[in-house]
Amino acid sequence: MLALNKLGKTYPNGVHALEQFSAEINLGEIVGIIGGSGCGKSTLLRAVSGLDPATSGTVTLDDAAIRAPHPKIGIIFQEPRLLPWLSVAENIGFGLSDLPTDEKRERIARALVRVGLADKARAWPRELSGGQAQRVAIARALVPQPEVLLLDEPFSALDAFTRRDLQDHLLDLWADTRPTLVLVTHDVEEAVALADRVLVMRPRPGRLFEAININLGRPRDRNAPLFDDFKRHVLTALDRSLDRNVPGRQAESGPGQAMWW
Amino acid sequence: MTMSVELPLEQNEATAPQAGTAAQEGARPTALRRYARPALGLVLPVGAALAWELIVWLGLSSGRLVPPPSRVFETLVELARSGELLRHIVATLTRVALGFNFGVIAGTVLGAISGYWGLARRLLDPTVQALRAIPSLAWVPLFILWLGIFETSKVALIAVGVFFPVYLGVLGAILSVDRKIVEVGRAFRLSGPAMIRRILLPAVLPAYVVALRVGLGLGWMFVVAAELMGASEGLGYLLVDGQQLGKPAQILAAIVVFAILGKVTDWLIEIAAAPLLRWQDAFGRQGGAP
Repeated sequence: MLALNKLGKTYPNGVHALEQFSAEINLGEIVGIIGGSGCGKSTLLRAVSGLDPATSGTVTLDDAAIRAPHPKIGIIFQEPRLLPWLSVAENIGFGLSDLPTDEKRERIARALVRVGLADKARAWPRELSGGQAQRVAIARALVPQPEVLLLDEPFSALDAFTRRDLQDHLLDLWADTRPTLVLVTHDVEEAVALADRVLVMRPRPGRLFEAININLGRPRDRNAPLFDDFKRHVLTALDRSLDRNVPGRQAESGPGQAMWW
Repeated sequence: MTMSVELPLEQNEATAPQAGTAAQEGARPTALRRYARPALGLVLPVGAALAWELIVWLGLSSGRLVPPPSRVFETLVELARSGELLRHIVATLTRVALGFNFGVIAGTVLGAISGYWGLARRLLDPTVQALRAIPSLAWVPLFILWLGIFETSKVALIAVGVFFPVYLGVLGAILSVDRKIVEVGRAFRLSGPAMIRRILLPAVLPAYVVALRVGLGLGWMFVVAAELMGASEGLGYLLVDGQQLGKPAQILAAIVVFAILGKVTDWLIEIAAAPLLRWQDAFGRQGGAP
């Protein structure tokens, strides 16, 4: 279990980005984190990853404190961040340097097939489309078989079709080993389509505002009325988190007011 | 479904088949493009040389101060036959090689230290930048006083010329390594040495190769300066000797050899680096815009 206990983060420049954030996330659960800009959701994810540890509170994974990047925790960023001097296959194998060559080769080959890029094994990253590159990034994060995979707005730079494609693909890959997924997003539909539970944050400083369980079976039908109900539910919570209490009257929000999208 | 993935993990040789499709399309030009275009660049120099040859041959000019190509070539052949040419080339090449080596080593080490370590940068960089502002030839009298008139002072001057572009290149390249890619290394828990080997070195390499080529160019420039200030052998000596004895053909012959050696050594760096830089966009190799 991944436990976040009263996480707080104050940057050296005095910005208070995160306050008293607590959550318990079970193995294999998919948790979506959503909130207005500046609500500290990326700060939260970076604290969990150990890349940018929190200034107060603790992150523990199966009772081990996380203060630095951990082998059981993988992360996917908004950009693919592939290494341009390595081929696609080498990029996927980047985190496997401790394994014997044969096993490494086999895992990479399997991952390539699994993300549908077997014919691109020897291509350079610059030859890939945005969606393909992000699939390589997903494969790279998944081949070391992490227990927890953190995703920081992983599909926000993609066009709508590719994004939906990759969302489904992610679920597909997730079903293989069922790691815990913690997904930061600003897309309500994405959160409802993927998550078992959506944590809505409110900004300045970032705090947990509301947790919403998405009690929908999988695979989820995005056109089902119930899907829309959950979307509306999350939207309303978001609006309330920004003190815009009536969803139908967003037009009234004045200039300078934070927008969550 | 069967599939094989060859993993060139250490070096990615022979990775090119699909890798170069875009490049190949651009680089598979018609015969005209392939041969006629580079040939176009030869029209002016070759035409001028032939014209001058013709003018001298017709007796319109004596060609005493500006010897025609045939006379320059004759001089070269003469020098080569007597073994003189080889001796001078070896002397000059040795100086350039030594100076280039020392300059590159110092520039790389100091540039890497300054780039990697902020404290060293604040300590070291202002001094280096101040020294860089001094025209390198201004050191010549001092080097001669300190190191004597023979090889040491010459090599030192060349090394100084090579040092600055290499230092700046390495420093700038390290500072401009993408923080986001370094973070990937951190996320995969690379140790310090692994981070340098797997992230920093490959990221810095393209700029480093450029810095080496600029450094080598300056090395050739400074070897001439060093040999002009007094040498008993070397291509620079041929220049001075040609001037003092009134042999312009010998000066031109030395210049031609300089041009060839400079181009060849630059090309050697390019060839040595090419397999390591294949991942870069092949725009340059396609010849740019038509």
